[in-house]
Amino acid sequence: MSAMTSSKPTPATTKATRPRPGQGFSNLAFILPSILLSFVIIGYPIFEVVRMAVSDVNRFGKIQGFEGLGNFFKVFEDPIFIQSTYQTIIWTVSVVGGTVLIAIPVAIILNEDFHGRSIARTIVLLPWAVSLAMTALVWRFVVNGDFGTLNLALTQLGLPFNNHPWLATATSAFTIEILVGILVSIPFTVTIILGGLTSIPVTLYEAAAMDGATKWQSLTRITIPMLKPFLQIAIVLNVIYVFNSFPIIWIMTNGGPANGTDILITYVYKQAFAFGKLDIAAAASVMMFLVLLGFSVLYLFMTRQLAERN
Amino acid sequence: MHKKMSSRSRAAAIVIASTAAFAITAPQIALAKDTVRVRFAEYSTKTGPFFKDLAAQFNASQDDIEVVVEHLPWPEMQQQLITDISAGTAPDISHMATRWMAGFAVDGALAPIDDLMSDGFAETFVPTFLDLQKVDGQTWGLPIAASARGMFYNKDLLAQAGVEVPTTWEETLAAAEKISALSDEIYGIGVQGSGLDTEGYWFYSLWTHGGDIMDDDGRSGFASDAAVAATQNYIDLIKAGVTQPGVLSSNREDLQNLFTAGKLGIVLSGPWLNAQLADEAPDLDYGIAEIPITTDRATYGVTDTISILADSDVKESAMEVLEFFFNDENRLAFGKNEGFVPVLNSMSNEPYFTEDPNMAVFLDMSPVAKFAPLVPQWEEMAESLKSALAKSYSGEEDPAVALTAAAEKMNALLDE
Amino acid sequence: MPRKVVHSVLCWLGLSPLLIVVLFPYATMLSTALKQKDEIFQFETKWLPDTLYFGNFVELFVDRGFGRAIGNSLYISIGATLVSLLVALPAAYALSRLRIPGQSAFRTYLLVTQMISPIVLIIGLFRLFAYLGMINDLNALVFAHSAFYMAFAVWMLQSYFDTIPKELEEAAWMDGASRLKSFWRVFLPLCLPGIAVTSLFTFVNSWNEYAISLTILREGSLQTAPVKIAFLTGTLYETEWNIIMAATLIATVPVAIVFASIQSYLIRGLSLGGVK
Repeated sequence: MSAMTSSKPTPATTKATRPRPGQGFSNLAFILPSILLSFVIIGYPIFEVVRMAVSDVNRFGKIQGFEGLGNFFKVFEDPIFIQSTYQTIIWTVSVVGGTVLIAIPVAIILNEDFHGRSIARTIVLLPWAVSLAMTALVWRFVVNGDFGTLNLALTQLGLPFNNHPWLATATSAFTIEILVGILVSIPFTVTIILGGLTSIPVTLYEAAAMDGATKWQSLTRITIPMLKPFLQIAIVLNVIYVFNSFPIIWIMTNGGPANGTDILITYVYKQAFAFGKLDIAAAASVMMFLVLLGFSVLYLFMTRQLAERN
Repeated sequence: MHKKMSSRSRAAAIVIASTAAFAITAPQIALAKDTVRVRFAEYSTKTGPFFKDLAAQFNASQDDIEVVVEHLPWPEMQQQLITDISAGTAPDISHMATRWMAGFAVDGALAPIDDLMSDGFAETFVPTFLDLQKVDGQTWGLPIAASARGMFYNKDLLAQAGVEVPTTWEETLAAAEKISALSDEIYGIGVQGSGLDTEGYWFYSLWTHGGDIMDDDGRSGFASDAAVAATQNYIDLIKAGVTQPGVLSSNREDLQNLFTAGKLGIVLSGPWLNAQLADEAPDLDYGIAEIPITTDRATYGVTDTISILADSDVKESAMEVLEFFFNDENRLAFGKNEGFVPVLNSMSNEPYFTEDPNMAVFLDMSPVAKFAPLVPQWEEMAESLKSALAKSYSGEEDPAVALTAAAEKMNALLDE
Repeated sequence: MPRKVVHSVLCWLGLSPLLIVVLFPYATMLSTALKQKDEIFQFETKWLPDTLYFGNFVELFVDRGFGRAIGNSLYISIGATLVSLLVALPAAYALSRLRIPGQSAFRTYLLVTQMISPIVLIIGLFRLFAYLGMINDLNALVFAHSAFYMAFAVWMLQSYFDTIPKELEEAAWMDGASRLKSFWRVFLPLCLPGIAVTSLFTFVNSWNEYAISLTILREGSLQTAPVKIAFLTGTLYETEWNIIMAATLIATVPVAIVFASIQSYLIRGLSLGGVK
């Protein structure tokens, strides 16, 4: 967090306790409304999910008996769950990795002073203005083999893609879905990184320039290190959102062909609403949650260790 | 809460106001009117308005029951119904796919209607279709829609290729080869590899090769010799390069669109395609024939169901509403609207169904119609079948191996 | 300034691959939305319609009630933005300025609320709102969305608050202003850009949310824009691409205008460093 504190006149770590020191508990009133709101609305459904995960449940969520860890064992025995887990890792790593790799240079360019910058910024943000479900639907149309506009454009450029079926193999379909996933994650990520870039004091660059640093050197020695906390947040939040992202895959391929594009969230949805196995779905959801929790804790721990060592 | 109070008091105000208004003109007001909520899934943009009209007619015809119609798109229907039933907010009557019905009935969500139907009502139905709504000896709903499938062919493309309408799968392969040779943009026959009803497309081949979904012992027939031959039939078409490219990404709608655009010589589909063709390709010259065979004539009969839910407090009134929807006149209008085959005996001789060759072929095939089994875990079985088919069509796995895995999954689910 | 011109050309060139990919679907939407239904699936695919046809837009608003859906979406998105601000502002202020017992537990809690997809929680959410008698109530969505998007609002606001020098408030206290007064008079005005940006995030997320709206709002007249669009696709046998593309275009416009008008704030407001 050093980047944050260094840009501030007063470090945030020294909290103002001015008026009545020591009365921390009354300050809880400030955070109570937010805790209450989310506790009721998110907490209750989480409780339901956990309860169903350890119960024998019919397709309408009626509990018919205690199951213990039985549902979890059933989930582990399902080869499609294992396959979906593997694919979820590929999906999350590729989308988040691709997003960050593209978003950094894009944000750096958008932070430059150039003609039409606000137009460029608005265009980069556009994918955010459409819901994921709609984006996925439009892209399904775009990549349609015979009637899609992608093949139309490629053919007009003289390329041999006249009626190429982009979604017909799992590899090609998954690649397209990952690219769409990257596209829709870029606006959020670029915004965060841009925020980071604007928080880097210009004086740092001026000082570096005076010491004779090249542009490349200030990029690698100042910009990238100063962006680290922002990248950290971008990565954690993107991992959470992408890991749980449902509409793109559901609408474009439904997890097919042959479960080749199923990820955990589509697996859970199928179990719950198509197969009527709410208990299995709940158990799988709990495991998804644990995976994310594990990742976040580990990642935040590791990056903090790293930051402290430096 | 606030909003609820205010809307309730607003409702009260309206009731008082309208009561006052009525009091002048009508001396008596029915006090306890049954409200029957009916939910429909949309077959087309006409479905919702059609039933809203019927409900208005019904409401105007009597004073005891008020019908309220909701309509939803199909893809959302299953999830919404499950959440509604789980929270006790389901409607009194709901439309559903017959293949969900068995699971819903087993889990206690539906009311059996045998004792609710008035005398003679059950006898007005074509027996095959009503029998399909029975599980464990009880009737769980009415067949709201029924369709059969046939072979649509583009007459111009067949003529250009110089082929006759094929009647066997062997002839179909030969015809498709000639049609495909016409141009890079034209494909002989469509094979469906993804989305809703992928398994249905395979059943056409399965049944016409003499196979069945379940054998005589009630075990899976997915891996029988006939099933493997049926799969090989499609693989041969794909390998010969006479299908549309990208079978694994083509859903039912994609095939319909290709046929509409005049790019597909042959496609297996249902009567609803007539409506799309009339709408979007009025100049396309096409015909409909029976599904090609190897050993047996067959078609896929599919029904959708409309049921009364177990939690409904107004089951008798709900049945009354259903009997109104299913009277001869209303059913005929519905059938014409959506292009479904008759479910009532009285409709079978209607000129609309018998004289139009594009409808008559479906009616002719009704006696050889076969159906998907009514088992609670059918959706999951169909999903594993779809996976096996995708692996077979792509050549990733030998069809016998892939189908055996699907059959084992089905048997395991049957034992659950 | 020829140097800036060269620089600008280079910048645009660098961005162009991304810009093309972003704009390509919009070209597709426009092309399809201006076609009649029978022009979409033809033997030869074309970009341009035979004649410009605006009937899809007319049909959308006149026959399909899309205006109403946009109204519902606006109500929910604005409501969710206000409610989440209302709870997130004090929380963020406290995190930034006050000593709170269990501060890091609270941060972890916020992160945890983001970890479960609403899709997984749908049955529980539906039961909760059914119990509260709020099915088919737009306010249910206001609360649900604010609960889900609040965590992000807290982080953003806090990181923004952290950038505001505390001396300014302290100066106000010395002048005898009460803590609340200095918050209102000094602190809040300084944070307005940050609040604007946070609001935009919540607004956009709520505007685009699909799964919860679909589940809780059953009546056609209460549907939100994304759900309405999805319902247009939903007849069993064919998808009405012409109408969908028109609707998606329309649904994009309000958000795009907001983006364009506040994008400079958006960047400045996002000095985000909250998740520790």
